Amino acid sequence: MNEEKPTLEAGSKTGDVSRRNALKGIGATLGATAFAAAISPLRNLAKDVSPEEFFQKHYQELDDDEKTRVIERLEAEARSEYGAEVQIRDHRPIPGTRFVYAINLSLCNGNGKCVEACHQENNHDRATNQSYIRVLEMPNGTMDMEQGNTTYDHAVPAKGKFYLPVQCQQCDEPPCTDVCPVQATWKEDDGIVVVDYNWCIGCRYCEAACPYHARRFNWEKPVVPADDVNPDQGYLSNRIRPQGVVEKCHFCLHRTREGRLPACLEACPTGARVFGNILDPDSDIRWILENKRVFVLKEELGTKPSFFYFFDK
Amino acid sequence: MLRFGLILFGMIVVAAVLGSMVGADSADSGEPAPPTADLTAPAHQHPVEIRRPSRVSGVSTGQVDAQGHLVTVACATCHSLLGKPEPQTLELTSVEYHSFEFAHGNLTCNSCHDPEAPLQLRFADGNPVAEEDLIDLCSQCHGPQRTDFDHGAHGGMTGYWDLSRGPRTRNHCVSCHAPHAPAIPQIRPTFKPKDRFLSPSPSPSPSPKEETAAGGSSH
Repeated sequence: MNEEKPTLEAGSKTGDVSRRNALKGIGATLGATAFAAAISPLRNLAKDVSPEEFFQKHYQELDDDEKTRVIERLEAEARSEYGAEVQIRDHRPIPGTRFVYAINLSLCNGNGKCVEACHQENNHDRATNQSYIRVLEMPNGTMDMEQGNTTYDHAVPAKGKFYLPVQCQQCDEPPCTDVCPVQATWKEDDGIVVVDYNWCIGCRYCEAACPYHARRFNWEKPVVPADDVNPDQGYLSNRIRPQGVVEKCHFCLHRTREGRLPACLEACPTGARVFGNILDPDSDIRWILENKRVFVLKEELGTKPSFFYFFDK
Repeated sequence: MLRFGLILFGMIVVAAVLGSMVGADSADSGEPAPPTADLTAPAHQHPVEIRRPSRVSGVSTGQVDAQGHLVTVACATCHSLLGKPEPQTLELTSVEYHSFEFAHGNLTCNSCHDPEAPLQLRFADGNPVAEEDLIDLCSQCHGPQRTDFDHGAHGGMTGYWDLSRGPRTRNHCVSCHAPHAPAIPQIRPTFKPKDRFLSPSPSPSPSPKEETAAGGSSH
């Protein structure tokens, strides 16, 4: 026993050393492999994303020169990827405006022209008929939008139903912007909640936070034929979105910040939609808010929507 | 120290500028407003135009014109309204009225048309209506709709919400409502999202939850 001990010790000593070395070696290999696996998305990213795009700053931190370069790059991308000549502009809020929308539910008959107009105006994915608007067919007697459904496919208006178009309510207390981990979405001075599509990381927290189901996620790269691309685009609005980002109704800010009416309003054949500046005491929208019994969706949540609904009778 | 000096310098400059502005104001107090005031003054207001009604309705001739539009003619092209029975006193049949649809409350032809000159419209008191006042004719009965129309709460429009930047075009009553049958007919929606809830479903009966709006097409 005593004679063997040194041998055992020696053996165990050499065993220790080799085991340690082996473990070190295994650990280093595993670490290197894990590191390589961890950065592999970055290596793939480099194929699709130019350095300028990768290092582009948040919209609110871009100066005018940087914005110009970003917009030139995006226009070139639209040319190369979609074969369309587009003009992207950077629309800023008009001082002294606060946009508000109202819909007369006595007039809306659920024809869905607004949904289609939004689809075309905002360069939505043609493959899915994506749109920022859903028209819900609602059973009479409730204001609970969760009881509506969008899949009706019959002549409208149907008996015992009313129709509730829902899009982004441009809340004054937007839950969607609160949950964004990277501040890629925020509320601007004229009340419009916008998204910087190049800053969005696609986590979809905002989509989950919105009680109006108003946000959309680009699961795939939008498909839009060159002839169908609306060339009148805004950086924060209807430019063709990249894959993997969230988007939402922006009150057609590329139109409304130039004084024009939103596309969904112009398309409405019933005249149910009213849009305007709530800060203008002579505006149509102010008359409606003062004279109609307006209500908002899910008022109990305290989101304070800029979007109102009313009935004539 | 340098920063303090800069701040002090800045304050002196601001004070000097403010002082000169006050001086300029007091010096110009008797003058008319400077031209810069035009920038903040309300700009030129663009007009709101109401679409002119085209041929509003009539009896179909069964023919189409070169553009493919149905050719219609007024009743008075062939008939006098004098001494004729009113639509609601007769059964409306294709024989009597050539498929002409009349469904407008309890009105008669002569409620709006002058029997002596059927193409001339008239108010309930018998006074003729000028073409540009046609909306007033409808407003005799549809007061609340007229009030809403005047405040942009009834009737479609295109153009600018901000009239200082561009004009607006509004629909006329008869842009949407046929005067002889004003109720808007049922229409079939043509545009639907193409998602898994509207495509033919492999499961025979989707659960009620799937049919709700929330699940309906949130992606």
